[in-house]
Amino acid sequence: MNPEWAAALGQAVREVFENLCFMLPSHPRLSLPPEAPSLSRVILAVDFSGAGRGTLHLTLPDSMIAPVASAMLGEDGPLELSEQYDAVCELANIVCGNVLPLIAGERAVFDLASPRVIATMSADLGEVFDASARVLLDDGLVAASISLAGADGREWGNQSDARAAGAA
Amino acid sequence: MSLRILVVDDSPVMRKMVIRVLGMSGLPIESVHEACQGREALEVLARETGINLGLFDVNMPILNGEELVIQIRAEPKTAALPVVMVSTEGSVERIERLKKLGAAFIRKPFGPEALLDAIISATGAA
Repeated sequence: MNPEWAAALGQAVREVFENLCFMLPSHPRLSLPPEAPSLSRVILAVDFSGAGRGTLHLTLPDSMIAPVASAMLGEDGPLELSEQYDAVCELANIVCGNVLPLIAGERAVFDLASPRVIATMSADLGEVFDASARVLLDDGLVAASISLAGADGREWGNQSDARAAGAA
Repeated sequence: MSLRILVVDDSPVMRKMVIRVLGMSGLPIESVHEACQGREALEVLARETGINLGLFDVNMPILNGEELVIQIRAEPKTAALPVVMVSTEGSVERIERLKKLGAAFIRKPFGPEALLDAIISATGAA
């Protein structure tokens, strides 16, 4: 686990939810509640390539999908389910686009694939990915994780093109 | 001057969000046209007259935002079209490439003020 990447992930999640959905973090001194295993969640994945390659995952409770979509689109009435999922996919895309410069440097160019909805999660994010973060918002607990390797498959920062990509 | 705007993004939700923020910006908007990728945008530009601002996503299928701007600059009818590129991914290198194409850049998420600044930058209006 990379603590700097985890902090960047948390920052990106907080900023995107605040600016796009007007959803604020709960009191910073409030400790994170344990995740309820029975809570139904949606998991979104955004694959990226370019200066490096990897995947960002964003996990949020099903109960947040409708309010997130309504807030993003500024609509009070009910939205079609497909529109709700399009909105949270776009949210994951924006989180990914905002966190990559924070961890890979401002000069690294990435191409983001279309976000996908994953039905189930088979492993603990913290064990599988390079960094993960959880952000408690007033509307629910959001988790994000990221894996990032160099374009040549080596560890990020050790790859042959790291200097050219702008990695620290 | 009233704006006739072309919004190009492969995400219908993102197009809706951009149009919503445009509405909040206070700009005089006459009409908003939409396209879901660059090829369709070129068709709209060929068909419609008077479009005087483009808001384009960067990552799109078939013809992406950068390729779209290159084709627009090569066509005399649209060569001078003010363009704002809208993207989630804002590396310095990409922004520099877009500036060389004469496009302004704004990174998602953005509010009305940031969009207004980017449009002023693209149109050269004070």
